[in-house]
Amino acid sequence: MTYRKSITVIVLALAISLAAVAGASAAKPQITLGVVLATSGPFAGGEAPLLNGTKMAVADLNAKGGIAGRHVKIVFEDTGSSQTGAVNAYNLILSKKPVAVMDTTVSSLVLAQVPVIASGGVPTFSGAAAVLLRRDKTGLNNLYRIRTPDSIVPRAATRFALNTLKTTKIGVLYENNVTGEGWHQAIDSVLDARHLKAVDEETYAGTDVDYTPQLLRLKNAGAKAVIVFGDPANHVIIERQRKQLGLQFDLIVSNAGVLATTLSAIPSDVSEGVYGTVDSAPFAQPATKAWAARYKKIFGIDSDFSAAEYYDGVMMLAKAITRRGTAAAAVVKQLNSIRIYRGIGNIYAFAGKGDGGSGVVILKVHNGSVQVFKANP
Amino acid sequence: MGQILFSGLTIGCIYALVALGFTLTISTAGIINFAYGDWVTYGALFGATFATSLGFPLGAALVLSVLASAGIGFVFQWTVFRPLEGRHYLSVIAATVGLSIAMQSAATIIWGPYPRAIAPFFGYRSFTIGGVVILLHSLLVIVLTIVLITVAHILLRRTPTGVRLQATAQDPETARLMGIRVWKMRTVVYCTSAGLAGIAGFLVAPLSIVTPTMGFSLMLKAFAATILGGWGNLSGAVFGGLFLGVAESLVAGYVSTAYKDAISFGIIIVVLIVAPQGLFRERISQKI
Repeated sequence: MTYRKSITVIVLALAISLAAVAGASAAKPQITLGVVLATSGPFAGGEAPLLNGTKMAVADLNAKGGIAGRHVKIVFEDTGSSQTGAVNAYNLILSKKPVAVMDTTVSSLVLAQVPVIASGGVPTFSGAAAVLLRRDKTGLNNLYRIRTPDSIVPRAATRFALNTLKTTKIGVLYENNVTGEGWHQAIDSVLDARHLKAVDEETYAGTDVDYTPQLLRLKNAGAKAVIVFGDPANHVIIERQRKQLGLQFDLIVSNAGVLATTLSAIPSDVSEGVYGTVDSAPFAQPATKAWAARYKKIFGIDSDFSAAEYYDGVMMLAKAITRRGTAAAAVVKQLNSIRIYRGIGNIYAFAGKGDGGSGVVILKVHNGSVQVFKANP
Repeated sequence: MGQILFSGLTIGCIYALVALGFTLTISTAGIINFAYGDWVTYGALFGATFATSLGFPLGAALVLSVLASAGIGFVFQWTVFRPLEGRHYLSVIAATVGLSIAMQSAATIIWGPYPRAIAPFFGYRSFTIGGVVILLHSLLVIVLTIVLITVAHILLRRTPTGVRLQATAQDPETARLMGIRVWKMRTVVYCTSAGLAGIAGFLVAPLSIVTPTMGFSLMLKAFAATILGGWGNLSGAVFGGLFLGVAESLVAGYVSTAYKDAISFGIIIVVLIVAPQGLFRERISQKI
């Protein structure tokens, strides 16, 4: 056999082998991953990173040949940012036979979905952090909360004000909804334990565009630090009006207030010095910096903890399927046995409780971007 | 007290401006446009595109946003209002509610889901009088609202076009027989109403934030203001908007922030029990 003929035979053999492998892979049925998030309505902005994180994880898995040789396919339904929309979207996704669902992070929507999540039996990941969604309250053993729950974050914010900012004159400003009420109660519990009371507690409706009365009442009550829970739009206006009114108290805001997309809508001199509570800061940790850079390259915006947590959710699911197969009961059993999983966005432990994360990081805004100020206060 | 009154007046002017455009189509064409909040949203989104994304000066961006918004009114006339002419008013309400949802989805697709901002006229400069911080942009909102309401009033009551518009509103068939081109008049109304939405969206954006759903709550407040003032009455709608804004701020400042909406709307209910046709009784309200 001449040299040229040998090369031809080798190339043909390789081509046939590759075709066979590809054929075998293609023959395997795809794994369907359901995604139920808002791409319309007021929660669409806040949930866009969750979809990004999920897509990035699926792309990474498929680039490595999928899960156990099966490619992953995303099927998507929009909640429309409403409770009925969320329930309908979840039901529609169930009809597509997913192995798991990456669900909305809005607590009130997940609360509405509880019966269908229970009856579906499909492993469901959600960033919904409200106390009412704790496993002991819902009875769901197939809901995995890939967030640091609201029983932890507002407590950490209160401890930060007391111990690091060294003030006992704490005010509270929260959106009048189930999650805001959870924050209010958690803050009060920390203060009660120290025989303290908030100097003032104010609420607002999510659609409000003026917070002057609340901010003035907090000022008049003598607040030195105000813990704020809200959505991105609320934070933008609150921070702006605090500056306009020349109020001097520190702001410690919930995660939505320090998202890159929120800060882009606030002049840097207005947001300067604002503290924010997040589950993690992937951009700042040596182990996760590369992931954050890759995310920014793909989506053109800075990553945040919530995108990382949904990325982690898909990766935990992939591990569970690799070990136990795709049957819902087997995946649920495997996920419920996770005692520690170090992900990009959090450290998760689902064994016995279903509440994954426990990390809290305090960020501080400087020159329009965030820096890690304190971890686990 | 002064600061709360000023902020209430600012927000009341925004409600009044939105209520003015919303009521204009009711009073002159009998059209209840529940997509009006989205017209406001699109005005702000056009503004964010021209001023923030494309870097146009604020004045030029405002003019372009108003023109683009007026274009929406023109398109709505031909695609929605004209085909529904003569139908029951509930058909128009259903159509505009559906279009509102479609416009919100389209806004998310076109502009993305993330919040946007428009810088205020004069930046964030302010001055203080008697301890009350006056943001120049807020002052501009109040002044422009007064100017626009005055101009609208003069145009509708004192000009030939205004008289034709009134004739069209009161009896379109007779107006047509009198040689008034009814649809031309309605084109003016829809484009003006949409242009006012564009101004409202552009002016409120620096005090708030631009999102695909920002106009919805403003439209609800405008709707309440319209009912309070007297259905289809322009002066009443303006008064209703101002009343609502100031009442909300006073209740939030001196009674309770948790119940401010409940108390404000409770006041409206009481007013309507006492004066069922609103504070400014409207002559043409019977036919809508």
